Amino acid sequence: MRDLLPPTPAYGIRRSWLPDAVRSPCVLIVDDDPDAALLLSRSLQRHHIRTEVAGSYLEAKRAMARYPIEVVVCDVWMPDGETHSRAGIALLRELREQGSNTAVVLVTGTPELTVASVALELEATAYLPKPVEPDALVGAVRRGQRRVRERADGNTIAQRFLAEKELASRCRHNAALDGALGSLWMAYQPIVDSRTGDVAGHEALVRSHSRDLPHPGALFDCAERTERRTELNRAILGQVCRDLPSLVGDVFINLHPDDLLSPELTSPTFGLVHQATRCVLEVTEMSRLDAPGGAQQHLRNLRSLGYRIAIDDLGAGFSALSRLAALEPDVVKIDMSLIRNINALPRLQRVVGAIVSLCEPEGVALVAEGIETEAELECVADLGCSHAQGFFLGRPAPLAEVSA
Amino acid sequence: MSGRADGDVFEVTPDPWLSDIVEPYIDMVRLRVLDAAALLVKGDFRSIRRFAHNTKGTGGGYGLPELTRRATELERAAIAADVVAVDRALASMDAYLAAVRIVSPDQTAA
Repeated sequence: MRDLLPPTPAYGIRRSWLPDAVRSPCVLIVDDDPDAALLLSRSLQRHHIRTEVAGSYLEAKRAMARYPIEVVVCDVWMPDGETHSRAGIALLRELREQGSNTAVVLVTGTPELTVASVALELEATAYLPKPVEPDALVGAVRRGQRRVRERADGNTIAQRFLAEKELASRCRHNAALDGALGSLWMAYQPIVDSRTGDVAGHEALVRSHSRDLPHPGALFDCAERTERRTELNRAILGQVCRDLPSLVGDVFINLHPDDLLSPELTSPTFGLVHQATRCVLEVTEMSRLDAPGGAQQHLRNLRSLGYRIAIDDLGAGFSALSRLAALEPDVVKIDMSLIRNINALPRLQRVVGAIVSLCEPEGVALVAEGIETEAELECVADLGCSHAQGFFLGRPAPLAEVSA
Repeated sequence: MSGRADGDVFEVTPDPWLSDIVEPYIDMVRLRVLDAAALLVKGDFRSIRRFAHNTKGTGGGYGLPELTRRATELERAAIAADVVAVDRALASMDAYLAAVRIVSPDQTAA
């Protein structure tokens, strides 16, 4: 009977309920030279060691979020944009700072004593010169595997179970996000001139046909959990870039403060920068922008390329008025919590009136969000909000329904 | 893995687990040698150095230690930005790769 069971995996718990990628831990080969990666991979596969391959530091991090990696075999020098850097050491350092037990074998075509001593300090399993002797590589990987498994065996059954549950959850989230990214589309909600009713632009809102992640909140949450927000952001900006020529007026794009650094915003090959003058970048979580040396310089750089900056959801959560002066936005969007029933609530009218009096002299455009009735629209227009957005004026709709 | 120089021919017997990838590797490096020659015309020593460095690291692994030796010479020449030495090293690599003959273990035994 015992023989009919699958072999006991390294971490001791049988995991038939886990996806294939999770069942057996593997070795990650990280090398920008595909010939070298193939060679290293073959050297291990002939000893029945499962491998995955990454061609860069970023690919390695992505692979480590997806697969159960026991050992990383990493080239020390790899391209970092236009230059070469000691990406192997950076990866090793990051793993140790995260408290990871993953074993790391470094390989290099340029052995250096100083680098070797840093590697030793960071508990690299081996530092091997290229061309790598296959037997030396296999020996180092086996040592790394033993060390990782010994440490794992020191954990309690409960700890191992929790670790594996976390791994399974991560894999499920990654699979769900893969599906959502493959079926991603943008809905566009009109933003109108509050006096004339003319469409001045649209807010881009991400949607997906995925049944696992049916609404944007779930999509962003999943991207955060899998540390793939940058990938999601790239997909969104790419879709907006393709849709822009078919749209009337400006496009308002929601961005996380960290995404202000996205190369997609500035890369001529990506293309969005060529349409920057039609893009308004909406930034939420403004507290993050106040950090010393924070995003203000990036905002200035983006403005110089033609982008405009909007503060989103002013009045909601932690968005203090004092930040208006510091961030000098081009547009302020007033949160719907300050707009709901504003026509009947003098208190809200006074607050919105104060925001108008702060913004109007500075030439800052104002968008009242969440307009659901004609009375609300008339009221915000009378108070001086130049633009309005909400279900009363138009629901988010696919590109085909809003295109010029 | 074994190799033997016989006149102008370098016979190489790859390990069985590499037998299907050595020949494509040689073809690929030959193409990259041509690319490197074009880079030399443009004076792009940095890219040549990167190519040389990578080939130095892989040649021996594919059973071509002589390629690693010649790539080391190329890397040295590229670091020194020595046009003549780079040209000579590229020619030497190309000549070597053209002269490599893959021999299966059966043929060796015969």
